[in-house]
Amino acid sequence: MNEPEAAVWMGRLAALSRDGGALPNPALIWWKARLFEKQAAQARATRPIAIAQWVSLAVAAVTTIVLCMANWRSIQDLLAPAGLALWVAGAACVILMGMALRFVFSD
Amino acid sequence: MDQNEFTAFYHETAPALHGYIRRVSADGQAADDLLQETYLRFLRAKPEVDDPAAMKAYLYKTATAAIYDRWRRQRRERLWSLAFRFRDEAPPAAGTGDVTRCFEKLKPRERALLWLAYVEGYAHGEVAGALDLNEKSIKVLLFRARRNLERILRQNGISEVQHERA
Repeated sequence: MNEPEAAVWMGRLAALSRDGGALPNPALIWWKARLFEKQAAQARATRPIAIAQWVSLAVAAVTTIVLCMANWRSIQDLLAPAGLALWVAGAACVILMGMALRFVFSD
Repeated sequence: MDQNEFTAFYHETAPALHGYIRRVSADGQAADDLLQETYLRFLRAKPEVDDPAAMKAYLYKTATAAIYDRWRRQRRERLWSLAFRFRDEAPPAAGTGDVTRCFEKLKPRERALLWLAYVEGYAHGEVAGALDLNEKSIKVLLFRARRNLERILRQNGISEVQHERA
């Protein structure tokens, strides 16, 4: 197929593609673009706050782990006579804390 | 670019661009979404070009990238779902005729090459810019695309176009 023949076929296809259907409203696209710009600017402005929140969470988690490791014997002695009920209560507290953190850090 | 300039640019370019997106993506249902996505990316990028032809070329390049991104996303989803066989191109949409169905059997890059070269009338350099290809390879790629289109037309029993001399 030479180039003139290809141009004829493609012209026929292009004519079929002009179905006259309604195109999206340009005003809608313009305002969507402006909205995305504002959201991007807001995200840039609040980024330091989000970073600080994650850093504080990491510091709290590391501190908790270090303290637990340093006082593991005492914790074991405390929990040994308690039995299953205290372990279940402790697990429930951890789960609730996780849900609370998720709520705090979600946008 | 203010809103009035954008609206004028949109009305000038959107009908042809919509046709390009519809045929290259072979997905008529997604064409409106891809068209919006293209103009949104265009507005966010704020290309520093004054020449209308260069702006139009940038727009087609953006549209091609949006189509390819959509295919990559669909490919990842298909791999995860395991419900689809892995394919390199988007599933063909229901065409409105024999020519449409034959065109959709081409590879996506071939569809884009043929459309830009013979519908939009782009020179090889402009086609290369829109598709991120080497300009020197466009001539060969177009030849292969035309050959494949001819083969598909023949396989579907569509007779060759007799080139009428002016």
